Amino acid sequence: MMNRRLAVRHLTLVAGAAALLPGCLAPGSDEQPASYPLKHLALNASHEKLLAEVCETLLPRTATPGAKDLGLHLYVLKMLDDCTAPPDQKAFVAGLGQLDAAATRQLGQAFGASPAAQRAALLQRIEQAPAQFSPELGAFYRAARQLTVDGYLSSKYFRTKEVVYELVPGRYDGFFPVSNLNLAVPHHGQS
Amino acid sequence: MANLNIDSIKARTFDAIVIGSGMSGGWAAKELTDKGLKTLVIERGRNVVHNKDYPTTNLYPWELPHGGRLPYEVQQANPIASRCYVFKEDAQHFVVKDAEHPYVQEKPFDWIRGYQVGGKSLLWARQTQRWSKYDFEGPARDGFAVPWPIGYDDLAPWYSHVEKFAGISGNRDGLAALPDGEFMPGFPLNAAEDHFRRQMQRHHPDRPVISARCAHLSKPQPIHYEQGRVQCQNRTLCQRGCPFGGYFSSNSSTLPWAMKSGHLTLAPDLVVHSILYDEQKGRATGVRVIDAHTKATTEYYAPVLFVNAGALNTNLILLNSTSGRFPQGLGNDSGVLGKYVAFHNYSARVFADYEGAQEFTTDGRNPAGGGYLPRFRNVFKQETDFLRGYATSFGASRGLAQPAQGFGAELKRQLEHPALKPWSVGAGMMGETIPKESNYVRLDPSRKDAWGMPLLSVSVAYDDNDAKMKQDFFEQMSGMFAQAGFTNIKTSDSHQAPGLDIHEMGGVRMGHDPRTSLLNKWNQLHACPNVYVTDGAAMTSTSTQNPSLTYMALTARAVEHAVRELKQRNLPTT
Repeated sequence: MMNRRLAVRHLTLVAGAAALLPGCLAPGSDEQPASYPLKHLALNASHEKLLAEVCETLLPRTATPGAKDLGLHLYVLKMLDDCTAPPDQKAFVAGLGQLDAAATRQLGQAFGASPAAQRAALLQRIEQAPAQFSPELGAFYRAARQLTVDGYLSSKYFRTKEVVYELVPGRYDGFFPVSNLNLAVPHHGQS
Repeated sequence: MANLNIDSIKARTFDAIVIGSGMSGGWAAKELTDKGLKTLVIERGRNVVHNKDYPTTNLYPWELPHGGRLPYEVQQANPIASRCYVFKEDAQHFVVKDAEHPYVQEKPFDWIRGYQVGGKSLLWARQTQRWSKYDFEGPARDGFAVPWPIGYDDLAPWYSHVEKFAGISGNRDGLAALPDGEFMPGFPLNAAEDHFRRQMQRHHPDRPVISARCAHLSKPQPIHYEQGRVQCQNRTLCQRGCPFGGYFSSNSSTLPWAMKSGHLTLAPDLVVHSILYDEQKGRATGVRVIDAHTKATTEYYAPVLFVNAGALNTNLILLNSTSGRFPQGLGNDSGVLGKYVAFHNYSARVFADYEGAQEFTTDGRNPAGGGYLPRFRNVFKQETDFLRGYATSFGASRGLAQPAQGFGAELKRQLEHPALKPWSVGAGMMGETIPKESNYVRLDPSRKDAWGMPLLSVSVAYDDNDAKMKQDFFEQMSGMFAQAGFTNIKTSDSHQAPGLDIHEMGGVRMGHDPRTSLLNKWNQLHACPNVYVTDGAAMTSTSTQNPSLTYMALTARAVEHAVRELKQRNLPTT
């Protein structure tokens, strides 16, 4: 169940993510460049669309925003392009390029055309039986999963609504009773 | 024209010149201007004004372009800086980039620098401990380096002087090996750290675990409010510059204080080429500087000079200050200048888990970082097969669990409602290294930097004593962790090069004898007494304390001496 406030927040977040996208993005067209200005990765708009579906499968919208709502695939692209060593970038790009073939083989159709449960089944197989897939596909999955998680954990949404980051704590208690800790909305003590 | 020249020289003449605006240079500026001296502070880097030039200080994690990580290309371009824990997206603008300021490594040495007003005082780890008499007596007792020309009693009142102004938090622990100071309340140990303290009390009464002493305002006093500084807000974002002035830096404390006096002229963006020596007058008369941008050369003059360029750069400037009288560098009759460089061995850590105290965690953040074990090896007498010993930093924390596998709605739930992990504990060695003639810096004979300064060539390495000490640290700390009931105990040798500790010291050491040392007991060059060196270069030995507090105290003490000498006309004036 999504309440009205959450829905409004989702809209805001989606608008925020959309604002990052230049007008030229036309999903489905192989000719279009990716929306994040990539300096190193050879990925186009359809790769980006596929990556967005993978990210959404990894962290789907539930009662809280999902990867698409938060534009996490853009975070993944940015971190890959700016902060990742070239061999890892290559493996990621190669693995992403093999995903649809693997999906067709295992699910009978492309990843994007498959229903959510089937997409999840494929990713689960890659995670749990990586030997059945190419090393690149395994590397792609692990990097995509970790970067999507990182993107979620460092997002403004997560650090203001879930595990709250305090810029100015103004206190330190070294004997804080765990029983007083609200793990529903924990304040992160360490960083 | 003649009058113009005279006016120009007059405009470039001060009562005192301070080279460097970091930890000790800021103190020289404050003390000199407090005593009414018209003081010029020269800084090679750009100006950094408190609260104005801290571009990242109020950014949330998601507002940093890469969440704090540096782009791969920046890391690749800066292998030296990238090894420093502070070289991240939020503070990289305060760390020297490798290519801009090259130096020569005869042996691997990570030279971490901060070229800006305030220097590394913006970035330091803020740990502040006094030396004890046993530390000063070390070289004489154990027969290395040369005896210190001063002892604890000489420095104690100056420790008090600087502690009151800088603001030091700590407990009065009453330890012979680590004298108490002028303290605001210490930051408390947490449940796991306190468990370790109690266990050590039982198993090793001679190995006290105390709250780390640090330059944070836990309970600010009127003198701190007067500086415009207020209580530390436990942000632990110190390396970005603190809008509260919650920790001590030149930028938040000594420099604005000196500026307020009306006696300070701050001159950033000037690279000191050399100290001028007048053969007729038999003293230093000023400095030659290079404009960092135009590269134009100018000279400034004063009857007394303080060299606070940062330990190795102070060596560089003195080595480059040659004259007929001092062909090997200013004050270097002995040939000792640049030699007997030492540092702290930070290459060893021990980690473990603690399954106890599960009912507690931490709330807020601890700017002190946790606990501290003063040196317990060879303090009162020689006990081991290696000289000296190590202090230990000790900290414990509980993180939030992050599943290594899985995805989908269940992973989201786990991330949003994370389990608390058990306590992780860690101990870091801070080992004393022995100054040796073979650990030295010198000028590269041919290569120069963009300002025409000779490159500094560094030849500093560990020795067998360091290796034995590290082995002892691993054995002792692993044993102590086991006694405390910690599990999964792991030792870690970083194999890091010297320098990454950022505690390089020596090269211009103090001593009684001009034949074996550069500086006398007042930090004056034996052979050129109107030049004082009061940064890390002056250190005869390193002991195990974080050194900044000692530089501050040496500086304040030396300024008082210099002003007394000027008044008594023992230092000739222009």
